[in-house]
Amino acid sequence: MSALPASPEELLISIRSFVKGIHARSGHKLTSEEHARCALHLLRTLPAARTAVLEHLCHVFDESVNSYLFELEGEASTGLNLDGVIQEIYDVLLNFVNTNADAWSPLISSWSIDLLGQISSTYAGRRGVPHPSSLNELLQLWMTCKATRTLMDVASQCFAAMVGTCPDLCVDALLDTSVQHSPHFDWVVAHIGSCFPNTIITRVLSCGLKDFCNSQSQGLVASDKKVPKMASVVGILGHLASQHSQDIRKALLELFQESLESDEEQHLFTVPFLLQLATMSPMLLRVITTDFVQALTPDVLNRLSEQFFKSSLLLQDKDSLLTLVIHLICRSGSGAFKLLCFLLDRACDRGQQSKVNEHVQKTCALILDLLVLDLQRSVYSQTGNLSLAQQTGASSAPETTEIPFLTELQKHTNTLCADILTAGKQRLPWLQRLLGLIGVHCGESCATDILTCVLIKQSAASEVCLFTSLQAEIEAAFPNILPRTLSKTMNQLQRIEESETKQLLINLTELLKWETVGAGRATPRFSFRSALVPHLHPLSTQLHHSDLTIATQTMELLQLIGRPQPVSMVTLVGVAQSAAEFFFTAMHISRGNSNRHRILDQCQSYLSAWCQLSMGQQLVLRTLLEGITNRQNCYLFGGKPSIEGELAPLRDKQTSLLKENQKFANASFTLPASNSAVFHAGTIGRGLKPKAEQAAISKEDVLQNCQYFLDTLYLCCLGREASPTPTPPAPVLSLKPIDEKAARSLAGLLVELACPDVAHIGVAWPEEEHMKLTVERDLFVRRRFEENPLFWDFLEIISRVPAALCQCAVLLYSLHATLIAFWDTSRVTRGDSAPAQLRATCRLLECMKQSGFLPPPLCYCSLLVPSLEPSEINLLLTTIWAFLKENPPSFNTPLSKPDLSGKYVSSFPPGVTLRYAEVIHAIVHKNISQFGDLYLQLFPTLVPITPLQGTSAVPAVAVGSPSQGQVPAQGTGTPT
Amino acid sequence: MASYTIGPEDVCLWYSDTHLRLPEFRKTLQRQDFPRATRTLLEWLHRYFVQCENFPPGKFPNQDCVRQLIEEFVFYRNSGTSRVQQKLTAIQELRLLEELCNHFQLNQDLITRHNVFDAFFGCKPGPISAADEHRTGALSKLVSMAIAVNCIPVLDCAAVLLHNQGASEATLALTRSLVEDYCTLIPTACDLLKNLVDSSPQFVCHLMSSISALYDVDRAPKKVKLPPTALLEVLTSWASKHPLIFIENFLNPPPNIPSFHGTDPTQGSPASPPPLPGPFPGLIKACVLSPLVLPRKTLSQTDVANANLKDDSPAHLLYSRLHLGILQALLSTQHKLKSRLSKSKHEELVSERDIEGVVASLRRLLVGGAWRKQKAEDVLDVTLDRLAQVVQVALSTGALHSSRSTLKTTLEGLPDNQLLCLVLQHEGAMQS
Repeated sequence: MSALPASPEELLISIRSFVKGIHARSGHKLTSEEHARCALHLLRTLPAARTAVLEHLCHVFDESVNSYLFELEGEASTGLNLDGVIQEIYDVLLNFVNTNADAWSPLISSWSIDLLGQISSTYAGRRGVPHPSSLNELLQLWMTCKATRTLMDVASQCFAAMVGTCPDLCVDALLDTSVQHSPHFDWVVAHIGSCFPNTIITRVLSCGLKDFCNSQSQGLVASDKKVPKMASVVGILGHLASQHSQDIRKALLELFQESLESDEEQHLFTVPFLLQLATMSPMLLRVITTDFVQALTPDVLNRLSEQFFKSSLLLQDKDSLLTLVIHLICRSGSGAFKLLCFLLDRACDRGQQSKVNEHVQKTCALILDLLVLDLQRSVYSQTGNLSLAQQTGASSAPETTEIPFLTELQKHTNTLCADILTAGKQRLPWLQRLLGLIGVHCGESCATDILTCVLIKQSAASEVCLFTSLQAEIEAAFPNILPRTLSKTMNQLQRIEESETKQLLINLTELLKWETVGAGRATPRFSFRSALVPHLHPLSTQLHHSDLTIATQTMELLQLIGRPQPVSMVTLVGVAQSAAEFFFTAMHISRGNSNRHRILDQCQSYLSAWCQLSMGQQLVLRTLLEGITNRQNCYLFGGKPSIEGELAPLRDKQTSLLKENQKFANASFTLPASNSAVFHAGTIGRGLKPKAEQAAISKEDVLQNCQYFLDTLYLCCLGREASPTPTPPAPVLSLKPIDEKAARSLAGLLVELACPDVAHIGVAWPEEEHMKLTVERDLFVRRRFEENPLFWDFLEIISRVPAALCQCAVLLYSLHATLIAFWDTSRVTRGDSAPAQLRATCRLLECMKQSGFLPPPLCYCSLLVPSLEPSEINLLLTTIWAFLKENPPSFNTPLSKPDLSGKYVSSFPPGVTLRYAEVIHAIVHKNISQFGDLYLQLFPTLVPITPLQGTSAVPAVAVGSPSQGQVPAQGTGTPT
Repeated sequence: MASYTIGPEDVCLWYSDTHLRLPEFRKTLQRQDFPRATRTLLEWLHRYFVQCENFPPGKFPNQDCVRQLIEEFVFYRNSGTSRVQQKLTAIQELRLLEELCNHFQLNQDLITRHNVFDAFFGCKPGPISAADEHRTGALSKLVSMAIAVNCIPVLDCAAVLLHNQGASEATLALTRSLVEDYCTLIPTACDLLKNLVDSSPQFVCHLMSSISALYDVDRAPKKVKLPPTALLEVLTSWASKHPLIFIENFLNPPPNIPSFHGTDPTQGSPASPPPLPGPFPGLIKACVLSPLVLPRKTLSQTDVANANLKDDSPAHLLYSRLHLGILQALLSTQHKLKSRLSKSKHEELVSERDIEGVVASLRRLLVGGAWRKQKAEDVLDVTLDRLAQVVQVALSTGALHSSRSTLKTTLEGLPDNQLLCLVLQHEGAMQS
């Protein structure tokens, strides 16, 4: 076409050609390219033709896109190639924009954006065009198309030119087109937006706000109308979010800050606008929840409430705004925790020093109330049935099962739990409900976490109700929550700190008490006790805790739990042993401690409870007995550490076995209950024996300790027939018959402890000559007894069951032998002069008598001994030895049976004792001045009294204490 | 006229039964496509307006029916009842304009031509109603196109229209559109405007008046729109090329043709817009006030360096050239007027009232203090100098008839200016 300026005639021809599509002179039909060039010519020369030309250019672009798509779809090409023309158009338009931006940019930008919108939506349905949801593909497609790319370039150029002067104009056009052609138009917005992020973001927001204001102030009925523009605002921001989230953040905050400055309508509506935006886009919601919470300082809140009360429209809308807020909170993900904290802080911010005004507080409280209510509804129905849910439409369907707010809070349960324990009256109910809801919503493991946390950390005893109410709420959803919580807690037991351990134990105790004593029994719920039973073993390890308070607390707890009925072996071994070991720990408590007695009593009764089981009894007995010989414990009972040379440590000055054991116990490691449990560490060649330096302990204490220990032992031996609830122990050693089995095991233990010779089995009394061969063993046994005076008491207890005493035969004759040897060589004038030996002799004889090993009068020898000379004692003992050799006791034959009064009655064949009685007779005779009053008792048959029971074939002899008056006469064997 | 082929029927729109036959006419036209139907209607209208000359002036029979047909078959704006195409595309509109240009070019009958043009594009006085917007838009395009293709009949018709409508909204819209087309959007096409002064001086004269009305400082005191530089160039070129253009409306007063849309005597319109004054008053005002108005723009838009060169800035230069043109025009009109003034003594090119208006605006600007404080003296001097010059020349050429006393009272209170004082004294001396 001709260059500028054109003559009027040429121009007229051009117009005609353009208008008709036919060359005005030659009359041939214009090709597309010619037509377009003609149009361009007019555009440059004829201002009046502007709109027409632009309209025609629309066709050109449309045609070009169409043919591009045809080729893309693999159909026959239209044969059109308009790329050259399009380039020309681009040049012309760009020239306009560059040379005269102010005038041309608005025109061309609105034209290009409108055309892009038309093209995008017209061709959206074509096969080659990707679905609008895949923005990137769409962008790629259109940007490879020459026509659309050119248009886009033109539009961007116009934007660039206009950004400085009148940005609102272009953004408005963009928004309008976006509303009209969404979602096909999104790619344009995304592209332009990424070219001018800052302008677009702020402008889009302000345009959206303006629109929102208009629709709001026109009345609330227009709510459906405002959605499309809002949607496109959200859409645009959504496109920009991936790359410019910081800018968006900043823009939103600025918009918000700006809104605080005045009371103009637009500013008043900013907050509702932002909320509305947030409902439509999770991304914006995230921004609002994370950033805005920080921006909402008390001053800002006060200002907001002021603004709010100034607008009647907002006041009318209050309820729906609140619903909106709550809906948003429910959906807020990250930042939910801060949001919650913020709400709680504000809602509980009361009093004179509060920074926010009353309205803000009340609103926050109201929001919290409604929030909890709404969450509850959602959690239990699991449908997310907010009235606003339908606004988000189908997209919310997959979310319904999950409430992001709660899911997010799940990460902060620990903090929340810590918070709830320190929370004041106001916060508590909200937090409690929320935690319950979190637990129910986020599943069992989360719920157990919460409960565990509360259980470990709650410190006030009065807060028992907190745990129970939480438990009750969660239990409704997860019936097994309590056992799981407890197992988790027990797993943590090894890891948590001492103070926490203590607290946990106290809490558990409180809860158990509440359950057993309080109103807790009334509600149907999982019983604490039954939930705790499986954890007895881990709990019992706490008995070894070095902190005594923890250990005692454990004891109390264990006692409250009691002994479960079916019990596994592992539990039994662990618990029984630990409890018995704790007994000694308790014994170590200084006498000044007022709790000592209570603790010991608890321990005693607990031990006796375990002794209802035979296995438990054995274990307890063994542990008790071993404990008493322990180096650390023995001095409590007047004992001495055994053979010091062997136990003296080599290098370490103070290696406490007790502590070593405790270490293991803390690591949940149970020592095997066997011989190896005794730590032997002695070796030969350690040099001098270290001096025994034990803490001095008064005799009374020792006596009391011994008494208590024996009481306990006795209780443990009482056996199964005792009532399940242990009766308070009698002040003195009860005389009730003890369990035979217990006595047997006690005997076995005693032998094990006192006798090094494990191979010795058998009751048969050895020959007197044999004594010389076993001197070393005998001395060892004797020494053990001297070291541990309580052994004698054990022996005494054992002797009540003759069969059991038989097991101790080795001890008996070892002791016997040493005594014979002693008295044989003793040069003292009377037995009194060697009191220890004398007492040993007496106790030995008493034991034998109690078991019915000896018939009268042999059995009364203990009465004689103190007054005799050593040689006479020796004679007596030798005589008894001889008797026993002739008539060895046997546990197989029913040699003795308990009679009605519980005493053992021995029966010997008549005449057996005659020979031995003579010796006694002789001795008595010799010292008749002293034993005159005993004579009748010793030799009843020599007194002319007619036997009462002549008919009985085997006359029975009651073996009792000498104080027992009448002794029935022995049918046979009368001493001369 | 040459292709005066009657359609299927011999339609006589002036008959009294026209309103009954309207559906029939409509059907006839509907059968034809866009350009043909318009062409047919144009023929009918031609005959109609020829016949109208037999009626008393200002009386148009079946006015409503004719108006309706024009709406439907020229602009294709119907009420939606008929099946006719709803709206013209931009390209079709361009074609319509081209057809109209053609039609007016071929139609030799001046009165009929004016009547048809008036029927198509004339507007009721007052603000443009929404229904008339498309017509004013089309008018702007038509005139713009006529300028480009040098279609003098259209321009002449437009001049008459401008004259009839005075300084109405429609006039200003047309002016604005033309200025935008030729001075803003395509400044390279300015030459077409410049050449216009030879082809249609009448139109140019009216255009000058309406331009000065459009950019009047007092029209929208809040936001003064400054004329684009290109427009100033055009004005300057017109003034220098053809000084008599200023009095073209005196020399060739437009024919007084009753308006088709004009004020209905029965209804009576209270708000008929003021008639367009000659170009002198508005342009004098613009030139005198320009130094006070312009710097604001240069300051706000460009840096201080530019402000220092304000006297050299193209706009200032153009204004002073325009001022010179005005002065020359006043001088050159002297002879022409002498012969004329004997006929109409009361016709004044520049009235006392105009001078008063200028001074009033000047005072307002001075009070408003919108002009720059620095260099106030320079700027003010330029302004007052120009005022003095104009007054002096107008007085001496007889364009302004005013006594010394009235002038003195008018100019009283203005800041001191040597030239102004001189003029007043000198004038007094002359009078005496």
